[in-house]
Amino acid sequence: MSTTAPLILLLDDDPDFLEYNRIILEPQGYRICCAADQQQAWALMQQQVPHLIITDLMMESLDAGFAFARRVRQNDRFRQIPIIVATAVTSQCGFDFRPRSADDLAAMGVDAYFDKPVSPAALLLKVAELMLKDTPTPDRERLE
Amino acid sequence: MNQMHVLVVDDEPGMRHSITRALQNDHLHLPELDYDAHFVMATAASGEEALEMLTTRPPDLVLLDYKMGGMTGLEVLRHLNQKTSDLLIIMITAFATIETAVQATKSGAFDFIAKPFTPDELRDTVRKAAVHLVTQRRARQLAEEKRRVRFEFIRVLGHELKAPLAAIENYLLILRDQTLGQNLAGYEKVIKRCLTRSEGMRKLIIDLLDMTRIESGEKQRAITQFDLVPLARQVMETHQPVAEGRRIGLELQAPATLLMRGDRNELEIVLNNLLSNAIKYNRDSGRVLLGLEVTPDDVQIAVTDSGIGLTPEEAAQLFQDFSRIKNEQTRDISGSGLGLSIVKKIALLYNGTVAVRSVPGSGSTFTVHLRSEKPTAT
Repeated sequence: MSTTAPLILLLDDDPDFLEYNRIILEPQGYRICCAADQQQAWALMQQQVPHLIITDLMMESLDAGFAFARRVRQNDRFRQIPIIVATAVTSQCGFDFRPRSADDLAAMGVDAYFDKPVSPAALLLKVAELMLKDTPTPDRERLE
Repeated sequence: MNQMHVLVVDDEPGMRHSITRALQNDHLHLPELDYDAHFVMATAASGEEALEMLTTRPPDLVLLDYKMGGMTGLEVLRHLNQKTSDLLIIMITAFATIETAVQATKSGAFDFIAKPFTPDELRDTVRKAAVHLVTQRRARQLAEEKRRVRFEFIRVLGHELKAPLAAIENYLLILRDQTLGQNLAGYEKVIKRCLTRSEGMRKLIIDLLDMTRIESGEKQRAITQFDLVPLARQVMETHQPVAEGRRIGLELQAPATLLMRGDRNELEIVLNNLLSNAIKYNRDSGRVLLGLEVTPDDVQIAVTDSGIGLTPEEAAQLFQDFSRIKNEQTRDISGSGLGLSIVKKIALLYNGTVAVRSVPGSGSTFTVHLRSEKPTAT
């Protein structure tokens, strides 16, 4: 696969969810890199800036995915990268994490939110949509 | 040192002062509860004032005059009982009739003390109330803690069951949508992962049932005298195929026979969990040594592996429910996270202990000591 293909970073502590996304996304011409935790994901991002991130929510902590999204948003190099959250956690300790509007998503600092299991068609559609919206900044072009 | 906040409600200033004086230099010492406190006193000259003070600083004990101008003691009592449940009220009454006592108790007073009373009588009554209060609060705390632990357990259990289910559902969607086109080998891999994850769920449920049976105490323990050595051999045999697949050598170091009194099934669970961990967390071509030893009042089961080992921090949390060490090296190892917690619970049934000694990167030894069931070696 060519190195100019868009790169997607997958972050999930469940190896099967990484594998699932790889199976769906690779045939569509995306390049995939996988991380099992935030530290690993962050390290991978330093090597190569991904065009999109798909992350789990509950990893080492309940809202690790949100914490990671915040960290990405606060970083000048990474803030434009679209983020998709996919999780089996829909409510926890009485809190309902599910966003109900675009405003909710913006407040969470993510671009899309899926409950697991994620339908392959829905995921591909959302990835394609976010990729189109994301016109690469000159800065990112240079970094690559 | 704890503080016991006491509110004295009486319309007679002399009464308020004398009670305050009698208690404020006294020290509450309850050796039976391992509880010590000094009194922090506050006073109110009327029922209305008392109710107002409750919202700013809720007391632990209220000494409440029965007969006051304005709101009567009984009215205050009824208000108090509607508002709070975590304080005790002692009525002060001038006429110690059965009738007033009954009425006060009905309205929620813990006790009453009749005027005139001596400082010692007052201290005795307060002390009795304090014992009750402290005991009641501790019971409540314990119940709360149990509820919290149970809630947390169910929360984690829910996640542990939902995660593999989501993985299986994801893979089923790939099959349904034929995402892999004509790639049959790809589908085979997907199906294999589905089976692995559903097997993981099944193991979790079996462990959960084992644990519930042990914890509920409902399971009849079948205590017999039996030989631990053949049981150990039998358990090792069931793990042999998996071990061989990864070229891990299993070795038994034991006397010819080791008779002990206990529940065979419980011992089988212990051996199973320890061996399966020792294999799972081992390196390929590693080894596992199962050592059985007996002393006059102690059976020792030690399982040593040549695996990835544990840091002291990891070892410290190992025997808790759903404790699974998650890192780069363990990500493809499936486990319920209940196995060692079950081993510990069984060991406790034998007044025993479980311990781990580990060197990160080179291996761990899990040692279970079982006592009380009078083992004998031959």
